[in-house]
This record gives sequence, structure tokens and C-alpha cells, in this order.
Amino acid sequence: MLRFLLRRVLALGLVWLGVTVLVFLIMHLAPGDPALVILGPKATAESLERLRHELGLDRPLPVQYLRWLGNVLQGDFGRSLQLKREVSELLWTRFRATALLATAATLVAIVLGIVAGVVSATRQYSVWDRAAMLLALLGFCLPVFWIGLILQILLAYRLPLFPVSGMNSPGQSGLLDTLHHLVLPAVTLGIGPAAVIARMTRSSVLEVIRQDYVRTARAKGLAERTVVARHVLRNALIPVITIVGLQVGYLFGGAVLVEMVFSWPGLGLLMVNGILARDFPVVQGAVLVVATTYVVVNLLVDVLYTVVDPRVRV
Amino acid sequence: MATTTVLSARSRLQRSTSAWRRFLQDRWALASLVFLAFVGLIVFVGPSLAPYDPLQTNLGLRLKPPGTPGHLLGTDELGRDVLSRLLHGARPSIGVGFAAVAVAMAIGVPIGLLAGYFGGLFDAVVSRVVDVLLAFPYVLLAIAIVAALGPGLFNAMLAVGIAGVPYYVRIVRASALSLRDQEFVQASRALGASHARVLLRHVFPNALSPLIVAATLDVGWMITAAAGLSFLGLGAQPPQPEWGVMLSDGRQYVGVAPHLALVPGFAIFLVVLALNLVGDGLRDALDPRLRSSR
Repeated sequence: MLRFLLRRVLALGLVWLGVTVLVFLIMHLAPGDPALVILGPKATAESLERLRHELGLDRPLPVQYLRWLGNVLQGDFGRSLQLKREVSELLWTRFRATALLATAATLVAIVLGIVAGVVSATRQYSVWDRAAMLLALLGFCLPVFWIGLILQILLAYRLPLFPVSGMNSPGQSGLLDTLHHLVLPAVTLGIGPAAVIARMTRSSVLEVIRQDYVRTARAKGLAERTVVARHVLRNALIPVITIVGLQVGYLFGGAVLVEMVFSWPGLGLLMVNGILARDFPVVQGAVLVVATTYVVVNLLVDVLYTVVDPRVRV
Repeated sequence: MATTTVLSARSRLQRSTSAWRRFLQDRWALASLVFLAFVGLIVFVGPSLAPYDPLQTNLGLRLKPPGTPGHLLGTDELGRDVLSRLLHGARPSIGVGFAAVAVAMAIGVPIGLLAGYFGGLFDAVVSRVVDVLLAFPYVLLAIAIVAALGPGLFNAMLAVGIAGVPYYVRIVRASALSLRDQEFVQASRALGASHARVLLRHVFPNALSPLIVAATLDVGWMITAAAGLSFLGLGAQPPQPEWGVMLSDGRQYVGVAPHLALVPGFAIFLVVLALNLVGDGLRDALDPRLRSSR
């Protein structure tokens, strides 16, 4: 187990290094001169040159990369060109908001997806099955930002059950208030992955339910409910874990769009505003944090997988 | 040599007609294909069907609801006709998905074929790069690339396409890898065919099925992704009538004029849904073993 773990960590560490190279390169290929962004269009050639030297922009790229990586590893992402604050501070507050949103959306996706999948598989070809799979198909195809707008129109404007946007009402910062604001964004973001999980759960349950040991369990007189919960789900949910892991990546990507719809103050919103303002350190930091989270989540999924299914550990 | 070519051509023809027959039995896929043909028509002739100039503003007729006389789908915040903008927007909004898939395939397919067929150092390097690219969530990678290229519809198309490259490399590499050791490929090599000939005549055609299915499904994803970038302000720019831009503009008015967000979003949804149903139908038809649960 330990060896397996070490191997995975090492492999993902290398992938992560690749990720940092890519993030660094993308931002350096970007048009626009950071020195010009800081000093504005009226800057003299001389002052631009001096600032470039101070920022180390006149050094060779590999040197710049290593310096940047060294700083990043110490938690220093530089200063925002636009907001004049430490990027690491911004990233931390924004990361918490995005992580909250993504975690809530994951829960929504897992609960909706597994319930729909199990219902549809245990009642194959029934009205329930058809309805669940139709909903899954729709959830799969609906653009996430459009789901958000529809929920906003229906449940915030027409029926004012939930706040339209933001993470807290003005002057409030309580947990309940945040949760109230979280409902619509989390449901919006969770619907797509829920659809994928529902389809996967359905086919996985259908496969397991025909196994001999399930027939045995039934034959020895267990209630159908016990058979499904104890014997079917335990095995059927193993492949579902992988799908959930893959969907977390989608969640972090899709979160950008959902944060835009609901003005949720997360990393995605920070990133998009950074791109529009050419605030490279912020964009670099935000992209790197999201990609790193994705890599770490994938590692966790791998580990979880070996815990629930020791067969893959060979 | 000549006989084997004829035989393989005939069996390929038989296989494709039976696949086509299976596809025609899938009512949903067929209906979607008909719908997509209709959408294709709009892409080409839509602008000439539009009752108004999509950019023509009329501040006296702002935010009119659908059904307003003369404006079937209402007007937007500047009094522009929503139907006209929708019809004009079809071409960039849908075209971007096809163009992006073309970009992804043009880069990903040759790399995947070579990596899978030859293996070795090239394959090792390609596989590591693909691993790194797949460590980014798809939308994030597209956003990062657009950040480097700068906002705009063309750049959004490139970004969405390039972000899709690793997926195509992986699909095609896997096919090439399993095909290169098959007897008919080995036989062709033994008969003296060059690597280029083997790749183009034997490996590539047999790797096509999964590729066609993936491409059909991806056109839908890439349409959504490009609309998403426009929605974020990183793709097509106002006042261009593009569905993502229309959604983004309409967002500020969802409280008073929900149709501004509902109409373009519904259009995107219908097209993506139809592409998905066709894609599922194609997968079932081309490879009945993978029959989806629908």
C-alpha cells in the first residue's frame, strides 16, 4: 500500500511540475508587458527598463521560471498589478469560497446522481427509469450558466426564496446566511455531474444486480432493500468513485461560470477579472491553485479507490 | 494485394451500410439529425431571414417581451430585435464548435497516430505532455489559453480547440496502439508497404469509429465552452450577435426581461442536445457493444 502510494505521489508530483511550467509559459506568451501594466501608458522607456530589471523580466526564461517556482513553493505568488495586494492573500480567501461551492456541488451531485441511478436501475424500464434517464440527459446537455440563470429567474426573482447573488447579505456574515446564498450556485453546479453520476450508477447497478451472489442473497430471504444496500451498492459504487473524481475537475472548471452568474467571490471570478485587467500574477496564481487542487483530488480518489477495492493495488 | 484491397473495401462498405441501418432505427437520433439539418440551414440562410438588422438599436422599444407585434421574440436592452440577433448568431455560435473540433483533430489525430504506431521516445514525451494537459480541468485550460491569446471569438475558438487536443491524442493513440500489432497491419508491412501507407490505409481508417463519435459529441461541448467564454467576456465581444454574448448581455436584465437570457440559452441547449443524441446514436450504430443506456 505504501509503495503504491509513493509511486502515485511521485507520478503526480512530476505532472504538477509540468503544470507549473505550462502555467508559467502561457502567462509569458501572453501579449502585453507587465511593466507597462504597472506603470501605465505614460511611462518613459527608461523607467520601464528599470522596472523590468527589478521584476527580473530581462533574465532568461528558465531563470525566471525557477525563481517564480521557488517563490510559489514558499507561498509567494507576487503582488497583484491591479489590486496592489499580495496575490497569496487574495488566493486564500477566494479559494475558500470556491472550495465551499465545489464541495456543496459535489454533495448535490453525489446524492442526486446516486439516488436517480439506483431508482432507475432497480426499476428498469419503468416510468421512473425513463423519467430519471430523461432528466439525466437534459442535465447533461444544459449549459451550466444557463441552468444558473433559469434558477435565478425562477427561485430568486419570481419566487424570492433565495438571494439573487453574492455570498452574504450586506452587513451579515453568519453561516446560515452563507448557506442560504450557497443553495442556488451549488445546485446549478451540481446538476451536470449529477447527470453523469446517475448514468454511471444505473449501468453499474444493472451489471451487479445480475450477479450470482445477489441472487443468493435474495434466495436466502433477505429483503430487497437489504440486498440493494448491502450487496448491490457496495460493489456497484466502486466505478462510480472514479466518475465522481473526474467530475471534480469539471466542477472546478464549471465553477468559473457559476461564480460569474451568481457573483460568487471565488477563484474563477478573480481569474476572469485578472485576465480582463491583464493582471498576470493573479491569473497565474489562480490557474495554478485550481490545477493543483485538481491534481490533489485525483490523488485522493486514487487512494480511496484502493481502499474500497484492493484488487487494483497490484 | 489487389484482392485484399477489394475485399477490405467491400467489407468496410457492408459494415457501414449495416451501421447506417442501425442508426436509422434510433428514432431520437434520426429526429435530432433532421433538426440539425434544419439548424444547418439557418446557419447558412439565417441572416437573410432576419426581419431586422441585428445591430439596429431602437431605444423607444427597449426590453419588449416576446410576442410584441413585429418582434416575435421581443427586444433587448437597446431595443434590438432578439429573433434577428438569434438568427445572425447561429453562424458564429455553432460554427465555433465545428471549427474548434477541426482544430483539435488537426493537431491531436496525427500526434496520436504517430505516438501509438511508433511508440518509443516520441510516444513517451507525448504521453507525459498529455498527462500534464489533462491535469487541467477542460474549461480552465481553455480559459488559460484565452488569457494568453487575448479575448475574442477567433481566439476563443482556438483555445477551446487546443484544450481539446489531449483528448484526441489519447483516443487515437489508443486505437493506433492496438491496431499496430494486428495481423492485417503486420501483413501489409510484410508485403513491403511503407509506414506512411500503413498508417493512412490501414491504421487511420480503422481508428475512425471512436473518432467520429467523439467529434460529434465534442462539437456540442465546444459550442457550450465557446459560449461560456463569451459569457465570461473572453470570447466574442459585444455588440456581435453571438449566443454567449446575448446571454451575458441579458444577464443584467433577468429580473425584468428573462427572455433575453432564456432565448439564446435554449438555442444552445437544443443544438447540444441534438448533437448528443446523434452522437449516442452513432456510437450505438458503429459499435453495438457500447450501446448506451438511454
